[in-house]
Amino acid sequence: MFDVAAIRKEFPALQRQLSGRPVIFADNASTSLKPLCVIQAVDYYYRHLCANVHRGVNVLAQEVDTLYEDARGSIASLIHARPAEIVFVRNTTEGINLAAHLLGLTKQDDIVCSLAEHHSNFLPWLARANVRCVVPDDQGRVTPRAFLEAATPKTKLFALGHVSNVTGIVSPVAEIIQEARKRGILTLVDAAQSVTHMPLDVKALGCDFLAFSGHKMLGPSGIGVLWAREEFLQSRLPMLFGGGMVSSVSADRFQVQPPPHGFEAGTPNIEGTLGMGAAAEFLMGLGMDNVRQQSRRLAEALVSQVASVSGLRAFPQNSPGDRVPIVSFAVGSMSPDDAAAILCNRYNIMVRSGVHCAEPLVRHFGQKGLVRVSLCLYNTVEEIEYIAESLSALCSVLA
Amino acid sequence: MNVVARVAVSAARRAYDCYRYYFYWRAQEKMYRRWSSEQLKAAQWETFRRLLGFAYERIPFYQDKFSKAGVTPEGIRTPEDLLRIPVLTKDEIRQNFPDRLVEGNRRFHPFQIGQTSGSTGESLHFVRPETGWHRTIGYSVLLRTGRVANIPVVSLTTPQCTAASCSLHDQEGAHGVGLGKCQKVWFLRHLDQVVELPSSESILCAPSRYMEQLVGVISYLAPCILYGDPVYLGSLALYLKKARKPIPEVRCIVTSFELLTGSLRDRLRDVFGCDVYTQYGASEVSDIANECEHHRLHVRANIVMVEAIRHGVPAKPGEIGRAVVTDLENYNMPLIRYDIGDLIEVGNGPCPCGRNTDVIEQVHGRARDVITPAGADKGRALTPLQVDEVFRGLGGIAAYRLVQRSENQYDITIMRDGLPDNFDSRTLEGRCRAMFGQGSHFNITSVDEIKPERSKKYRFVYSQVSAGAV
Repeated sequence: MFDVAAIRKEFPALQRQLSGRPVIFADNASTSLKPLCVIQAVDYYYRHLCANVHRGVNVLAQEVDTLYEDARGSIASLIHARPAEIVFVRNTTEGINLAAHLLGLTKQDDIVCSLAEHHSNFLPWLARANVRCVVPDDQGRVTPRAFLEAATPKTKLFALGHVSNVTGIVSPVAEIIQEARKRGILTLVDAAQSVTHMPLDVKALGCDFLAFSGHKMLGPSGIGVLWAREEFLQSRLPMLFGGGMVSSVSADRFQVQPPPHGFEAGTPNIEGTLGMGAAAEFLMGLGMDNVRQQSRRLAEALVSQVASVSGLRAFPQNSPGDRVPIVSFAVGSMSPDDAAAILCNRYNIMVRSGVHCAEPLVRHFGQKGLVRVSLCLYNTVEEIEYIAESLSALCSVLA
Repeated sequence: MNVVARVAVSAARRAYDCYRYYFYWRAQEKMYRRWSSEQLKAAQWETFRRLLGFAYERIPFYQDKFSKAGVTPEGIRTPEDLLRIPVLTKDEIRQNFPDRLVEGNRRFHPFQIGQTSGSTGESLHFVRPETGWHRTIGYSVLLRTGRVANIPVVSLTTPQCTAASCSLHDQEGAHGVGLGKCQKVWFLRHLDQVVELPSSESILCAPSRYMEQLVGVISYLAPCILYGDPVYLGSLALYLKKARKPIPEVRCIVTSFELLTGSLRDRLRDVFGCDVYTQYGASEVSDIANECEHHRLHVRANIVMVEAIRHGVPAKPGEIGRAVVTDLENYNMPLIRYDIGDLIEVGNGPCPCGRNTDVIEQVHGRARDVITPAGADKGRALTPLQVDEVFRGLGGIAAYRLVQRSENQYDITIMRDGLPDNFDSRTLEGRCRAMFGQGSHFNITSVDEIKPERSKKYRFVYSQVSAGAV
């Protein structure tokens, strides 16, 4: 049983009121709220530990080492991986950039990705290789066939967004990966938007890389993960060099530590890691299948409520199938920034407006920007109804 | 439609707009001169009552607000009853916009959505009727030149206001142009009045290359009127003086958007050698008052009703009060007794210019920027315009910022102008003591740059102790 009321109590930010009314946080695709356990994990580190990691033999440092590696273990469990394959980075963007570095790409290599990708899963490839884009169909979906048609003999990797941060549509990554493997093409999954909404199993997916951020999965900002098959981590040089990632250094040579530590040069974001570990434990404690059910329930309600508001134009307009609760739309002829500001000022609804770091997709929809409502497991159907009522009121007057 | 036809249609539409507004403003000007003060007030009152009745009947926000205050339109019979109507605040607009404040079906009563620049704190959304979006500077142009058509005006203001007014003016023919494109728009001089110049994020420290280009474009366009934010125009004037560039000849300067202080007025007058006027307005209310040749601000009585409220009652002539404005044209989102957040000084007696509208002697700046000195002067509120007198005439200052940190502690930041004039901090301190009290302490520092607010406007005077003491 998924008790939303009880879960909401775990999120102090949900108690926030503006002008005496509760805040509706509907900008979870940007960043999620943090549960108490995450706040406490970060707080505990600052209050009681504050030692560096993997560097000391004192009691505090030893405790930090243990907690840090426990966090790695928790995050590995969340995606059914081995801890040695979990490299801590700053965020999904850095994770994908690290993957691009590990692949040693040149402009002779082809990368295939969807037009719906977040800039983080688009620019690292565009900067290093030749990118071939798959255009989503009218329902905003990409198919394994479209990826295979875009592939060439030079294609080195399929860069796959698991869930679009604009449309909330879940891509058939498992099928695409299966086809890619048959052709010897590597795959990377950008799981930034999916990790909070569904169970992830890197082994079952069969991908080669998977990246996600802490702050979008109820954890702190400034911490993220790149999961990579061990063979890539074993055979490639890291992107960053410095303290803590070497086992020996002499005047003319050095020995890189085995992964994942060899990829974590310098003092890492220790408190962020502990917080992210706590977030992973929190999600697993809820049960990822339950989380997925709640996500589907919210997505269904959100899509149908938004469709019922006259004056809104959702993108894509009709997209049956698997989704998470993220919907983007235009509010009549209003500028998305105006609509978002009014939703905030008048109705205490926090949404995001703009191109959502997915400019090619928003332009493909023929828009300069969109308003996006994105929900998380602590949102309720009542909140969705309130959002729809507010949008109706807004449209009836201004759209 | 081919390109030539499109340009011809566009030119014809602009010319039509130009003359349409010209006749509108001309008629208004005649009205201000021919009607007596009583006649203007009576007409204004009738318009106000019509708006009040409309708001009471149609706008949920006003229905609730008036009910709570026990006000009905029938109960408001004379201007003395006005004080019974509670003042509308920016917070109320923010919390009730749009569904409880905006009336009407857009199809039948077209309107446009606007947003204030946020210079009084937070930005505010509003709607105004499409027909009400007159090019506000048109009337100023008419006052200064007697004509509207074919009078080129060049405008320079903050990036936000440039963006807002460009979209606003799109309908009426003004253009925001990139400096590089200015050479291609020579024909604008003959079609339009307003050429919007590209703005700078931080005008006080704008690179000289930008300023050079700006001067080049202004010289090329040879405007009759230079229009814009006084800080922006003041920076341009300073650059011209420092670089010893030939000064573009303009007939006059009209400022708006921000407070025109005495020191900025002096600088503009000295450098450009022409008269400087201000136009008082706000994005959400449009044009409120225009300065006449006798340097008094005439309220546009047919468009707005302005009250100056001091400690809850109307300010007397010569007193400073909070500007409370009613927009008489906006039925889409009535703004009735709206506290605009500014301080104004009430004028007295008829103006020698012959216009019989209400007079605002001076606009004193934002209410939230008032300074309240300690000691013997306790309780006395000093407005940004009054504080500026301390700096007026002092050499060597490009810009300043005065912040009251505690009751008798002031931080004064000076940005030097780079001219040979000496900056004398002792004179400044002496003047400050005279104004803020002998027991006051001043920490005077020089900086390379004074940064603008988030809205890209500058806040030169403010207090961390008092807020809106008037």
